Amino acid sequence: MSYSTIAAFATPAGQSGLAVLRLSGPDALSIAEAVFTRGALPARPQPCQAEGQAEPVGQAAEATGAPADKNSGGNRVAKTLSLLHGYEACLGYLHYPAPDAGRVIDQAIALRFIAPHSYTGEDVIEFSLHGGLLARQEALEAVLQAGAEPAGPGEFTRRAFLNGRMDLTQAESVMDLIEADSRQQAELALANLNGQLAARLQRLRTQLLHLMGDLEIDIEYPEYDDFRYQQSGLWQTLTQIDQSLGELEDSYRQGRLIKEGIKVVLAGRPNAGKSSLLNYLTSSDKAIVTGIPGTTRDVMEAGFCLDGLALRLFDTAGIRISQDPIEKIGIARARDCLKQADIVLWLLDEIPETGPGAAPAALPTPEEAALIGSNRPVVLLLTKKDQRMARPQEQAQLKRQLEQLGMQLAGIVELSVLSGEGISQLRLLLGKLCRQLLAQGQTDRSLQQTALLTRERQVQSVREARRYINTVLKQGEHLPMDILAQQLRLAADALAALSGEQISDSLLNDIFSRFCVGK
Amino acid sequence: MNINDAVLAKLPYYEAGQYDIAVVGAGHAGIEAAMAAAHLGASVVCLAMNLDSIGNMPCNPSIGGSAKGQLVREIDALGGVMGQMADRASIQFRLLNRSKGPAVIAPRAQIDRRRYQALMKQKLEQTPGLWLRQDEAVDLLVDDRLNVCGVLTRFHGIYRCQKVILATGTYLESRIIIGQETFPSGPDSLFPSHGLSLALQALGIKMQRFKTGTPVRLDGLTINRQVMERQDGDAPVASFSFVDEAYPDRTPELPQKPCWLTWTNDATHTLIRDNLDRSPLYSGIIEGVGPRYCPSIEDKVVRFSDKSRHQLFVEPMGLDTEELYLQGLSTSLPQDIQQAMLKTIPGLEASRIQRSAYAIEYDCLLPQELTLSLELKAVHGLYAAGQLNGSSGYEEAAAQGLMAGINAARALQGKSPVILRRSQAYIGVLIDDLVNKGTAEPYRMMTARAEYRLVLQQGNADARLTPLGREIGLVDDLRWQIYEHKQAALQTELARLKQTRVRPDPSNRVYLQSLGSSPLAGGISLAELLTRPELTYTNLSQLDPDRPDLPADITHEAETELKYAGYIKIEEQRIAKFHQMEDKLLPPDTDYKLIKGLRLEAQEKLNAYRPQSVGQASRISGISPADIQVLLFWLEVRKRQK
Repeated sequence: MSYSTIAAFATPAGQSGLAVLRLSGPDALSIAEAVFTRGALPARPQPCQAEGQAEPVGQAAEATGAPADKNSGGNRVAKTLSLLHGYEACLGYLHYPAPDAGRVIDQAIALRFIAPHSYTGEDVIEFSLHGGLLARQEALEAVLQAGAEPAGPGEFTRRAFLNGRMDLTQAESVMDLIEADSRQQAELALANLNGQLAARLQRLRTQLLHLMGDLEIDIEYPEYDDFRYQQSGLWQTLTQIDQSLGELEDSYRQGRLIKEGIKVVLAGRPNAGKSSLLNYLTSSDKAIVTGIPGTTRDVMEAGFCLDGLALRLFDTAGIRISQDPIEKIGIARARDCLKQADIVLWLLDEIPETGPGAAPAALPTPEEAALIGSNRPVVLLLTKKDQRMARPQEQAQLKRQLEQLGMQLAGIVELSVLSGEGISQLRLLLGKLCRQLLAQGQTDRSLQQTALLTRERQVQSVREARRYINTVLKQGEHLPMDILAQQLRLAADALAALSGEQISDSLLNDIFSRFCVGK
Repeated sequence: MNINDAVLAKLPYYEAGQYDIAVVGAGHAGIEAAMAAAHLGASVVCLAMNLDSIGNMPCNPSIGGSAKGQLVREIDALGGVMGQMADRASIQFRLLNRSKGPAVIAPRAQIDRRRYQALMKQKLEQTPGLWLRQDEAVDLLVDDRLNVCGVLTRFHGIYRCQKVILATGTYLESRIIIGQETFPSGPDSLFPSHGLSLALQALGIKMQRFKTGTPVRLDGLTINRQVMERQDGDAPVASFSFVDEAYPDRTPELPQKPCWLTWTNDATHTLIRDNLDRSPLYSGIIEGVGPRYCPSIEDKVVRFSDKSRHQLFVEPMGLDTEELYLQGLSTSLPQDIQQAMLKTIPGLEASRIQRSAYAIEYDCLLPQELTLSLELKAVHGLYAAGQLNGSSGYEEAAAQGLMAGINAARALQGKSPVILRRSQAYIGVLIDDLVNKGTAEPYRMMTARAEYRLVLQQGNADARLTPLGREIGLVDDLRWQIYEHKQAALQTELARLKQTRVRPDPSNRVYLQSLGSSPLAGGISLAELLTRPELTYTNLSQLDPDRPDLPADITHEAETELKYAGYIKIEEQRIAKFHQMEDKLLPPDTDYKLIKGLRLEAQEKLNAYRPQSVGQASRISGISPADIQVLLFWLEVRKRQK
């Protein structure tokens, strides 16, 4: 009965062993098929020159007994989910939809429910995947890209009720959900439409409405010579609007810094002590710390509070060449994680030899350095300090090496998680970097205002608006006015969804306040 | 006071006749209402205060224009009469917005208004089951269960009937204002209607007061056309009516006449500014709310003070008169200022006024008092259409009249009302807007009001509505044959365009390049080629030598359908989403106070508006998305309890 297909995690937010991503609606199956392939994981093609750096392989795979991909070469099993019966599951892996289908996300089990025999009474696919935050984010992103809409709070339950999957005694709780939802939405709308976002949106909307007004007045009053529509200004203004929307979209990141915490990624060679540091900082045993290289197969994540700022620590798998398909995903994810980091902590467990011919293995490879880039602050951590101290010349040498790799070194800290030495220095440095990050480009504004877009739904609206604007920008002068007006209207509608206003009324107001018409 | 049998016993009255339906008013709304109801088998009496003013155009002598032209096409596609009569009485025809895309192309015609009136009166006279009567309705007969059962006239006649359609235009308690002078009058100095507005209020129906205005009429022999810009119509002429369109070589019935353009200037504006204190708009004499899109010239000069000139259109009033209509110079300033103003305008310096410009105020009802079938919520069997409902314009009035006539006649036969959707017709947008949002000024149709404008084209109004009109019973055999013939030809041509393939060769390579189009990589169908923005049906003719000779309306439709397919698909998806909520009907007897979870404001609004579907409820201001969720939930609970 519903038109849209919605997606959300059915398991609570936060780190957990497993997470269940639920898709419900008429297109659940086709969306699932776009992001899920049955069968074993494909092998990643290996870069040839990396062979010399390869670390011993095999240990990790043997340690867990995970099914190694014997037919490496990425041949996918063509069988689709549509062959499954209701309540039947199969193993496979999640990836982004075409054209990025090569970007593998995680191994997962897909479970199919056929309407009306599901929780919501609609066609449902549930994916069980590993609970890491990054995998969760990516999986949700993938299904949204494939056409699902993010589910509102309680929406599965609401659909379940509307489709007759719940009895009347459960009705009360649904009412509560609806009420809570509306309250939450009201609060969100208030919070989000205060201040800067509201002002920016207002400005963009006004610009867009003006463009639409220019078109509409020519359409509605073709007999007036004064109102001939001039195309010249359109492209320039639209390009500007698109740019501003792009900034808003980027600000989602800034907003996320506040809402979700600043992403601090721990990186370095296997066994450099990343997991130990994570455990120390967050005082938990989330990461299994062993001395076997490659123990951290997935990205581990933990929250951590510093000077009132929320930080998220990500412990990545050591980046190295591996044959183990699961570990390979972990390594690929570690790469993605590096790309999304706000701050990188690069751990070194031994001070590399400085003489000629010495292996630079412990420092980032050029590939990793490129991933990190020159804009992210990198802190070099010399761990296992209890075993050996670094001399000043060695520190200077390290700094030079990193700068040669094109990275921005924010500091070097020597620390030991056994003695706790150096930890307070690290905390100080991290605090300083976080404040710098939040203040970046926002020098005279309070931190609160940097959170422009904070919800996936909001970003979706902005992206949708940009899609329509870009249709206009790409098709150029060939678009007839009625189509042009439609695209602008759809863009304005998408933006209006952010503020809950009706476009047509504002449009007419705009027209009549700017143009003089009538008998 | 309303009349019931108890009151009646004390009154002197006579029985004026028994009909199924009484239509009050014979303007553009009354005509369509009476005609549709009679065609659907009802016996109809149509009351008018003056039978010489049937189908009068007291303002512009024109029909159509942006959005309004689309309305006329829709009225025609459903089997209404406005389009055919306008085609016959037109003295200039233009297709506006031709280069701006099929969704916004709009027909517009200058009309010989006396000719139009004569044609309309005869059409009404010749309609079986329809009787014209010059008489003034002053009150309504309503029984104890709030069913309307008759109309009382000024001369104590009682017309007994089961349905009444009010189409009283701008006549209710109307007065004309010119400068400081004001007097009770309908438009064109016809008599105003006294009493009916009070009768409606006595029934608990809420009214509001609107204002509109009209410019001066000039003696055409006193203007200097030499200094004005001439504007001719199209040749050959297009048509409002799909029936007339079936004869593409149709020559206009009447000789065609040009319009003339001129402009106001600084001298005009200074004169107006210097005399603003004599304008009733600014001195407070006018209380009614005027339309923003039809400001008087003094309004334009005040609100748009930076504009150095305003465009004026000099339009012919007809073939048998020299009188001209001066569009753009609507005013309520005193007569001496009107005269002085003309002296400042190029071409009009020596012109003589025949009729003064005036403002007119009138009572109309709050359209929120209506259901989507245009029946009043307060009184069963009482319908309203046209300017009485707060709209403006002949076309808007006719569209409502047609729907009110259809629905009143269907109600007699126990059939459900016909309600057009926003995604289906401008008529649907018009009525839905009025009923759900109300209007704070006379409502003019505009294409921007339609969120699905791309599918509501004037060219496909027949495909959208003629099958429905046939089902209703308004589309006669001739119109139906024409429709079926056109659709068959269209489908054949679409199939041919999809099947005919063009292969790359040197000559089409050069030709495509000359059109700024990239050469063909392999065989491609003409239909696919048409999706290229730079190619059109016309400029493809060179690649399509075996093309059949087809009338323009068919090739236009075929081209549009292929070219716009991608964009139309987006619209159709939006429409499907929209229909989901429109299909969820709310029971008419619901007491929203009893629905737990609805906010108080929502309960009150819903009880007042009584929406017919959840979709309609969502368009009422003050109803939040959470309220809609509650309604959906409540509907489901109710369904299961049954």
